[in-house]
Amino acid sequence: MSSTVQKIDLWNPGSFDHGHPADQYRWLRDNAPVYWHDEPGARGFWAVTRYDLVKQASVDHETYSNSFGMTLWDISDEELPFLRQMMMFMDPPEHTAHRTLVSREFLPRAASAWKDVIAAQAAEIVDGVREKGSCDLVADVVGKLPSYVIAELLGIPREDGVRLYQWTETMHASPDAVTDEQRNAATQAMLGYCAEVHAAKLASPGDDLATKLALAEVDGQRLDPGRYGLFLLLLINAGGDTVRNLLGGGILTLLGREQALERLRAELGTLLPLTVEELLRYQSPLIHMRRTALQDTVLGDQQIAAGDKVVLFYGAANRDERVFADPEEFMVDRRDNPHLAFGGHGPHYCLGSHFARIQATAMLREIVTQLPGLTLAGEPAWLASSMISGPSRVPVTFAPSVRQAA
Amino acid sequence: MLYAAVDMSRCEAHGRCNAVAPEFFALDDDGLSALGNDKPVPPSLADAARAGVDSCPMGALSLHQREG
Repeated sequence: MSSTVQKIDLWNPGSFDHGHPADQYRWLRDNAPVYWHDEPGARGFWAVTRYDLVKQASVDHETYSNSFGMTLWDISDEELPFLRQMMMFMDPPEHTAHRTLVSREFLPRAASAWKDVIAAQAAEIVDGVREKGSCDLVADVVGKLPSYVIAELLGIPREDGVRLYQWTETMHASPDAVTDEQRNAATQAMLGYCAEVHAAKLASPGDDLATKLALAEVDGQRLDPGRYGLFLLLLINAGGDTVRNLLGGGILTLLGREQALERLRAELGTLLPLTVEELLRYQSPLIHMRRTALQDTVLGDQQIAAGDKVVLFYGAANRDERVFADPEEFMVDRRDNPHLAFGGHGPHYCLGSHFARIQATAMLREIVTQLPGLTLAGEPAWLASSMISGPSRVPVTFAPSVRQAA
Repeated sequence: MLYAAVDMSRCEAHGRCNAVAPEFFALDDDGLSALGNDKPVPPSLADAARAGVDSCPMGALSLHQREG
């Protein structure tokens, strides 16, 4: 038991400025792993921070539902029926029926087929900055890869992938960074774009995910344009920000640890896959997902009432000393690493996890091998968000170079 | 005796079990679990089996004790 009581505030985006609030997490795990957290303007929520409890609630979808939303803040009664047409707001069996429409395209075998394409995209992006000697690693490098990948997957022009990504940024921005009008406008713009894709792919089918989804059937029925748009929006939103923040935050972590970076460069073949997993654990770009209890239940020592919000903090679970040795240490060679960065297991486990690993591996390899003398060249800026953790700007310098023929 | 089983309605072919404990968890040609319904766990592989069960993101794997 820790005797130093921390000021606990996992609601305030400021608590996540410059990374996860490790001290708050530790105090909560030791003293109140299922903690009743006040919430301005609302009733409050349970904050779950211990690894075993995060996993327990994630797997038990019959008790802990997604149908009221997955953010700790509430969705309005007007919006809820609309958003419940999106897979993330569904529970099994409806959720399973939707997930099965696309799950094959995302699993290891299908994802592996994209390895070479994604590696070439990462190389092309790095080639775009390498002669300049300086850049913003977030906007100019790591942020580009997910938009290129989603464009390739969906079978749409790359410029459109970049546009979709900009809308995603606006949709995920903190309330003080954009107005409600701006956020709604971005959502409507993206849904409008998805409707165009829907019509275009039905008129002229391709061998791509957007076409497969347009032709797929749930209970003998194709997705209507509204559900199709929300499905595409989910794939775009879930895959964009997360990869950028994993890599942006990950590189920043490595830049502050020169010995770790040197070791990674020296033993890349062995350490790259382990480092990617460690970045997932340490960076945990997705801060939380929320469930809502459908019935009275018990989690840890706490009585949970039907209707209570139960918020799972993955970065806290991923620093649980009951599971990870020296959890505050970043180790490029950590082997026993069953992190929950892709969610705490169960039906909503990240469908894109294999694509995320491939992208992170390709981009990390490029950055550590192709930008010699990579150094932080100014104060990084962080997203002010209690949902997504990562830097919004990472200015770097490096020795200008041209690619050597392999 | 310890037995392991897979619920194929949950298996999504993530392949984590095979990545964590290839000595016990085999995959079929589609990457789905080839564990079957009732595979005995040799005592020497009990830890590997537990690690594999814990690694399954879909919660599709389980262990159970049974006589005989």
